[in-house]
Amino acid sequence: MRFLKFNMLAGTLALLATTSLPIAAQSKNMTPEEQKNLKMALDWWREGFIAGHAEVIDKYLAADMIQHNPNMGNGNEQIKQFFKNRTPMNPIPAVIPADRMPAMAFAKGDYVVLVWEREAKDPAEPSKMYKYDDFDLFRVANGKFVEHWDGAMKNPPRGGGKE
Amino acid sequence: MNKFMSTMALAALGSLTLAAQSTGTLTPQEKKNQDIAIVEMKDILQYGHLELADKVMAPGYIQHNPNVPTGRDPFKEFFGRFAKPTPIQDEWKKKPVLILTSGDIVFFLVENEGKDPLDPSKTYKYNWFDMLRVDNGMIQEHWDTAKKNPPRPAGDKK
Repeated sequence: MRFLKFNMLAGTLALLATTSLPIAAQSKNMTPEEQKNLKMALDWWREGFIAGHAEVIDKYLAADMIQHNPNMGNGNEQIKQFFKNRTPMNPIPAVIPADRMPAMAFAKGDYVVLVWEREAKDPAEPSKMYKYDDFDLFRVANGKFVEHWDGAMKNPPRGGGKE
Repeated sequence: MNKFMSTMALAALGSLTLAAQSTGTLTPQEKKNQDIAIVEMKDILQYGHLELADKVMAPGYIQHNPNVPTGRDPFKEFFGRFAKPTPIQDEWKKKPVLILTSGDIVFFLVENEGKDPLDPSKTYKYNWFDMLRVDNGMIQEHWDTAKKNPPRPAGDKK
C-alpha cells in the first residue's frame, strides 16, 4: 500500500479500509496531492455538512466559488446563511458515520468526485423506496474549492405539491 | 500574417488557461479504460451503434439508472428502440464538459438544459454525471443522476 507513506491520518485510513471499500480501491491510483484534495472534500463534508460548523466554510470554500447548482448563487455567503439555522455538533465526529459515506469518491488532477447513493419514494408506488445516485464535483485551486457542480435541477415553485 | 500570429497567440493562451485546470495524468491502463468508456457514451449512445455493446460491455453489466433494466442484453433492447445509427465520428454529438478517469472508474460531467419551472418560456442549465467502471477491458457498471420517471398518465391507477 504505497499511499501509507503519505500524510493520510490513521483514522481516515482505517475508515477507508473498513467502511468504504470503493474509496480505498480508488486511493491507490491517486497522487499525494490528489489524496490531499480528496481528504479536504471528506473533511468539508464531515466538519461542515454533517457537524454544521459554519466557521470551517472559509477554510474550504473560496469566497468567490463558482456555483453550478441552479438553485444557488456564486460564492460561499449563501452557504453561511444556511448554516445559521443549524446547531453545531460538538465534538465534531472524528469519522464520517457509515450511513453518510459516499458510495464512491476519488480525486483526479484538480477535481474531486463524490458519488452518493440515495433513496426516494417510488413515484409509481409511494409505499416503496428505490435507489438512485447523485454527485458532487469540486475543483481545487490554492488549497480551496473554487468551483462546485451537483445534480440539482431548478426547484419547482413552492407549494407546487412536490414531496 | 499578423492576424494569423495573433490568432495563434490567442489559441496558445486558451490552451494555457485550460491546462491550468488539470484533469490529471492518465496511466496507460487509465487511458485504455477511458477509451472503452467513450465507446459506450459516444459511439453506442450518441451515434446509435448498439452492435458495439458486445465488444465493450460485460454480459453482467450492472445498471444503476432506475429507469433502465440491468444487464447488457436488456440495455441493447432498451436503447435499440431509440437508436438511429449514423456513421461514428471522432467528435461527440454532445461533448461532456469534463472526463475524469481514476483506475477503473471513468466519470463524465454533462451539462443539460431544462425548462425553468418558474418560467417555462425560459431554459436554464443543470448538470448530470455518468460514471462507468471498466475491468478486464469491459464496462461492468454504470451510474448516473437519473431518478425514477413518474408514471405515464395512462398507467397511473390512482
